[in-house]
Amino acid sequence: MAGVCRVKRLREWAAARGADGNDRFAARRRSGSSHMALAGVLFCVVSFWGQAWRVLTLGDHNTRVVLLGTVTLGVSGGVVGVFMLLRKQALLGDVVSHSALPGVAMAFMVMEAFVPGSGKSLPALLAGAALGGIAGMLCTRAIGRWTRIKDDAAMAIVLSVFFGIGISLFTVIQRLPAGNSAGLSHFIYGKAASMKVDDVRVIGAAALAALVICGLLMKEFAVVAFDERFSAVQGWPVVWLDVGLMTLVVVICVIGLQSVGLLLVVSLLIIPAASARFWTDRLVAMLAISGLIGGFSALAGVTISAVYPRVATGATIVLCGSAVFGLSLLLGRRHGFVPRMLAQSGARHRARRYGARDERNGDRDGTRGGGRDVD
Amino acid sequence: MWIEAWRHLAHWTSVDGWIIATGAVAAMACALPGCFLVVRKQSMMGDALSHAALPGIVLAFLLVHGLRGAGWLSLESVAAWRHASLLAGAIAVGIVCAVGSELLQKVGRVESSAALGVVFTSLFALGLLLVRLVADKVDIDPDCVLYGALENVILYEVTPWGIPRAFLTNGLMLGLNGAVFALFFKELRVSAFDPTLAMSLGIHAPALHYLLMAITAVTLVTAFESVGSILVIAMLIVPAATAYLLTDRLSRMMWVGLLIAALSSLLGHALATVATPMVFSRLGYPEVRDASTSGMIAVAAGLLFTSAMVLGPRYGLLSRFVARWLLAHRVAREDVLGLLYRAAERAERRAPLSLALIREGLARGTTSIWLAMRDLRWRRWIERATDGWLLTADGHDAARQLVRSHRLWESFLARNYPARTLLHESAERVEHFIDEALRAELADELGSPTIDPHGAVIPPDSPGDLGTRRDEPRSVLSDP
Repeated sequence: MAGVCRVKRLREWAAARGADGNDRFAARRRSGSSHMALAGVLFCVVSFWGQAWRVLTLGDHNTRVVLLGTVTLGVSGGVVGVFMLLRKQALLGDVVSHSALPGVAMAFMVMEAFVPGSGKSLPALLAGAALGGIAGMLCTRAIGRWTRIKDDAAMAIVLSVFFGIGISLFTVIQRLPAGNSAGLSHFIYGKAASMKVDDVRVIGAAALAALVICGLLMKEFAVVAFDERFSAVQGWPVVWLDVGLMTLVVVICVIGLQSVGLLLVVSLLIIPAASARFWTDRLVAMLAISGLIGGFSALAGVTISAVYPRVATGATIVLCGSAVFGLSLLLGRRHGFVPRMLAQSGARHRARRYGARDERNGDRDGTRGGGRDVD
Repeated sequence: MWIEAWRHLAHWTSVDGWIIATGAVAAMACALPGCFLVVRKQSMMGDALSHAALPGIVLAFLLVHGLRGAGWLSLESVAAWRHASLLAGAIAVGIVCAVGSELLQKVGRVESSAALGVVFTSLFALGLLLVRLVADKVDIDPDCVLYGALENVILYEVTPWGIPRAFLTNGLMLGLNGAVFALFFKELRVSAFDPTLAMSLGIHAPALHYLLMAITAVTLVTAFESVGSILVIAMLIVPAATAYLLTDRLSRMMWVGLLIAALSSLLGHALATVATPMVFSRLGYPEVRDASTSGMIAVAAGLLFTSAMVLGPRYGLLSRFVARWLLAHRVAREDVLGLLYRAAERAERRAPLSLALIREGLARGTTSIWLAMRDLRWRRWIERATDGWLLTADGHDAARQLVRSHRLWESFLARNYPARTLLHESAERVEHFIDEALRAELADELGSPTIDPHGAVIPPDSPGDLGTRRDEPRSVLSDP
């Protein structure tokens, strides 16, 4: 009985809310309170473990380094991912990360050939990865533009063929006297725990540069993402902006290779942006929320894998992101499932109350809205 | 170099034969559903399924291990049950992936590629997590799942008949796929190109969609042992895409896809065992004897795709370039003919046109005019006169047809689109594409006019015609 009353009150609450759905201040008030509630619950859960607390207070040097690197990566991935989501090209990050593999292998072989022993130097490998990613991107565009192959098939072709080249080169490297590719296979699965301070400097610098460029070119990226023809007509250099955005994606994928590995780096771009979409319709808010979610999932992932050593860091980061996505899907203020259902039931409630004809209610009061047309 | 290649090839034994055969059978089994994925624009779904199958595999292994631990399964039957549970796990996860991404799109209103990306990366992360966590209970090597070990499988898992088990399983998969696609070909084809039409015909398009996803998932998992999960995407999509560039009919595309899949297996093994040592010994690394066959199969498929992209007879870049160039050449040739005809019309007696005047009259580059002139001379349609070029009798015929097309088209436009002013420009373009049948049709429709809207004479169909027709000149513009 009490439950039914509560449901009825909930419906009326939703109906009252629905009536002033366009009131922006009401929207901000509502989103502020639910955001804080969510943050509070999460914080209580996380601080339950003493070890987790130690990690969060940056007590352990190693974990501090890893935290810094991955959180910066998560934030910048979230921000760049928003633009990719808006352009409906979310899976291009998968192509870039898979195409980076032959670049890494070739960089290793070239470095070994010229300066034996220097094969595993990180800047060289990352440069190779970037070149490989760019090559993959260009091949995808070329196939999509010059043949009748559609974009999705072009992506799958480039992804698999480049990955095949990379795997073949890896097996060749394994047979070389100098190469044991143990260090190189970390690029596939990620080994965040083995991040060093120098790596974090590289990652931090690249991520910061990506964020700055996104901030400076936010409006340009947005207009190209929303309406390419319009921006071309307005005189924006659409091709160069496209190239710029792709370069940012390549940068994110390359710096993410080390922490989450190439198979999962695409999730850093997709999941925070897709989650942020449920909370807001405005671009600036979406960028901020996406960065926050990316950073938060990196934080949570590293913390959990620091507490439980057998748990892979990259996978945990992605799963934390998925958990936030699930929560956003259900509870997101703007397009989440539960608020939408409540708004719909509120609208039905209001419609019934104000006398619209509804087959289920019938027409109890004969004077309202006229009688039935047919019996 | 060829002798060295032959020497490497001669080292091939029956093991190499089985490797190629198994790779070919696996690739062919994957190419069949791959054709439909390419045509339905769902290639990345294949990518998603192959990533998402990892947790299915791990969970299936865990289930079998748990059943064995609980005493429900004997040690001998574990191997058989493992395979069955792998397939079941793959189907389950495949359906979860497909259904999940569709739910996200429809109910969650997430953009389609993002929905797919969220689902499969989450599932793959879950799989990676599980693999690491249960590594002591279950012997899955993540590297092996990822890029396979074709050689090991052939060598170490042989049935009593001497045939590798991988060949048998993939062969069975190929047979099953062939049967299913032969049985449901018409329904799958309709629902691929027009799901609404399929539904109206009574074909349940969503069920067929899930059938395709399930078959893809099962094929993927069966091929995992041979080439690993990521390279399976190569075998799924690349031969099908190559076939898509070579033919227009779906049935032919599937046959061509099968052929190319088998070819890429052969070529891949050749690249791995012959080309790799040759290349690397030249680079100074003689200890590199071979590379991974599965990786090289993907590379070979990519090479075949690139050659189809460039050299394909209908849609290849080279053939399209050549066709465009030939068309430009024909247009240049006909432009020269038209120019010479009009010059001869204006002049009272034979007046040859010099090259300079020809160049001036046409807005074209020097090379294309030069080539056109050479072609016309070779056909004996023009001949050299004292200070210029003249049309021969054959050339005059050809030019007459062209100018007739031009002026008939102008009349057609003037009759049907009276407000239109750019008659000549349109006719300049269209005259090259009007053939004899169309000329006859135009003449019939317009009532065989003899004067065009600009007042010039429309050349008759054959030279003797002008005298036998009615005497007054007829033009489209003078009709009531």
